[in-house]
Amino acid sequence: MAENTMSRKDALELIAEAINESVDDVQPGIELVTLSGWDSMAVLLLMAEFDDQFDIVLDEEKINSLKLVDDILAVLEQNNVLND
Amino acid sequence: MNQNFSVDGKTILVTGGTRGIGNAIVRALIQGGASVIVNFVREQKKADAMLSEFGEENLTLIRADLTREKGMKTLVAALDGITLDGLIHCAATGVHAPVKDLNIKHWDWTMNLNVRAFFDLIVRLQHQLNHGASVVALSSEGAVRAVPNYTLVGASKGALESLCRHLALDMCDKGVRFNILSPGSVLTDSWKVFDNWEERIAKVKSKIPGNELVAVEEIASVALFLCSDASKGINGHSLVVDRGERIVF
Amino acid sequence: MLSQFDRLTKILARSLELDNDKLVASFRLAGVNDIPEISALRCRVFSSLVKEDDERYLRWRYFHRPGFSSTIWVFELSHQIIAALGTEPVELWHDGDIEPALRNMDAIVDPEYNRRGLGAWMTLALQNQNNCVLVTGGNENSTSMLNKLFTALPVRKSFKIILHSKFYLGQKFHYPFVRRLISPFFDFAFKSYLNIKWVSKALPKNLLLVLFNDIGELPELIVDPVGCLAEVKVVRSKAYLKWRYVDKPGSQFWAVGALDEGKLLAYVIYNIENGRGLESMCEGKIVDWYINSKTNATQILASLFIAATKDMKKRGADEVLLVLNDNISEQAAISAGFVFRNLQSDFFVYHSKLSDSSHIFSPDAWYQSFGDSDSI
Repeated sequence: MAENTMSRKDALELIAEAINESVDDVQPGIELVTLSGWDSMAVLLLMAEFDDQFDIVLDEEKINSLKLVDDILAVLEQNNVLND
Repeated sequence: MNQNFSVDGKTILVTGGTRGIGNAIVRALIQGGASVIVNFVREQKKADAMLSEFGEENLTLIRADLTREKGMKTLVAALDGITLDGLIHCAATGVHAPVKDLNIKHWDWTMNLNVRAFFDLIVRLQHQLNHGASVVALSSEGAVRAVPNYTLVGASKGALESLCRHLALDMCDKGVRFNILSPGSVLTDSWKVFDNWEERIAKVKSKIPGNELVAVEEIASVALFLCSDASKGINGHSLVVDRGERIVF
Repeated sequence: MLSQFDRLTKILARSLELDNDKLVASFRLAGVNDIPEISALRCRVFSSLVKEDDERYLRWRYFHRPGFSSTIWVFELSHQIIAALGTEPVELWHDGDIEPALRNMDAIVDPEYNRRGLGAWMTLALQNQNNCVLVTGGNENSTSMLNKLFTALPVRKSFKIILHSKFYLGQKFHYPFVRRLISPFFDFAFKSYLNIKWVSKALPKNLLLVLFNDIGELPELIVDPVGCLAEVKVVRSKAYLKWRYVDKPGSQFWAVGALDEGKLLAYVIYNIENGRGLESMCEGKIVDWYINSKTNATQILASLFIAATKDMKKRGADEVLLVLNDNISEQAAISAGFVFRNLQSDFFVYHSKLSDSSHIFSPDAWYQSFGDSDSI
């Protein structure tokens, strides 16, 4: 269980920073492939943030299953990171 | 089952055994009781998953690039002391483009794996093929008919087929059979090299009696048959497994 | 606190089932024996775009630099090369000083390992080892990553002269008979335009125009490789010019120069690429130039651009392209009849020590040419 928790809003900002996109463009319902910043660097940074902050390990299968911004939020939710 | 159709207890090498038709053939052979040695060069995760599923008793993995001397030596060294009852060459590659975009480098790259590596394997392993061993090379319709953007792969399969026929004659005194397995249109990842792959598949389906592509398991069954003693009377021939696709004008 | 590189090393190592030290050790300089495997990887990734003489190109580009045994990095996993990143050590002149820098190019990753961050990690690894890294160009897979790891500068202005209208009209008019009908008029118009632009554009009388049919003669005349164009540039030393334009296999370059009492004052290097097939366009490119005089610089360069273009026309070029950035070169190109096409922001700069206010992050400060990319 993650010791750190955060709100959905903060989670979206964290994701936006990893992807190097404006947080307005990183919202639930958005397909990740439509974001120009969703590249291998973003994947690495997201994995690093999840590992550093929440002890969440994202493996290749999990990464490949991420299609929407919601899927990333779902990972945080499943690991009890979201507090709202 | 008539024991003639069984591969139980046989040791069979499959190149390109982690994906597509090769993978299906490996499964069928293991389920038939054979010990299978799988050569692959990429998709380590798929190879590891196969090992987890079947265990080391039935499956040996050898990662080696057969287009490199280093890779060939690795494979041959790993097979030292092992005699084979079968060898199935599924590994293939190619550049799919019109001639105006091709050059001799693409030719070398395609031929190196599809034909040269097969010949090199036979030369190096010929003394490890048991009397009665069966060698199968995977071909395609492109060996005998012209397919758009398939010039290099088609030519390589044509060469592979001719090579098998000549080897069937050359090695008959050693009791080794060579045959070609020529699948029809099968739904594998290989289609995705073409930009318009979905359109191509739909067009192909419309021409097949029954309008369905042949399944990889159906191809694998015939490969299993060719490795069994029941196919002893078949030597130097191409077996087409395509649900009748090629008979339709 | 871990650096970004260290953080990402840990993540990538775990993804590839290696420990951190093994990951770092897997990234090494390639040896000559690796050339066939690197070329095979390029075939797998680039398919029909790989040229016939690819191994010869790799040998020249990465194993024939004087002073360097190898300049291409590979990532090896389970005895397979799964990624490669080429580099070109250069000398960067800025603020009156020269410092070593690295150009990155020819980055590839085996499709099986796409989207793992390997390309980004390799780039970070080289940034870790070098104060200054430059990249020109990118593709849909790399541009996003480059924008994150570098500062993108809009410094590549593209210019063109059309010598024969056939291919230009081919892009505008679909029907061949329409093109055949109107191309003589367009050819006449383009020729007249150039004749007007080229009037009175000769070199100053005290200078001698020289055509170098053997480009090998040019590097020998270089005295001061820095010249006076722009405030930031990759220096074209004697040794660099020789390697880049004399030794490059499968390419032919020519040059025109301006001599002042026997001393080389300015030069322009150019080449022609023929497309495949009889009906393909013959494309000329002005790839590099230099001038060591602020006096009449625009006039001298314009005159050399014109001489180069005339020579390329004689050699069958249908169009001549030019990429530039600095003000003097731009004025010279316009004076020589080149027409502006577009501005590209595909030049990327990284420097570990200089702040954003430094000249090297200022778009206006740079000299740029085709020679600054690996397309030539």
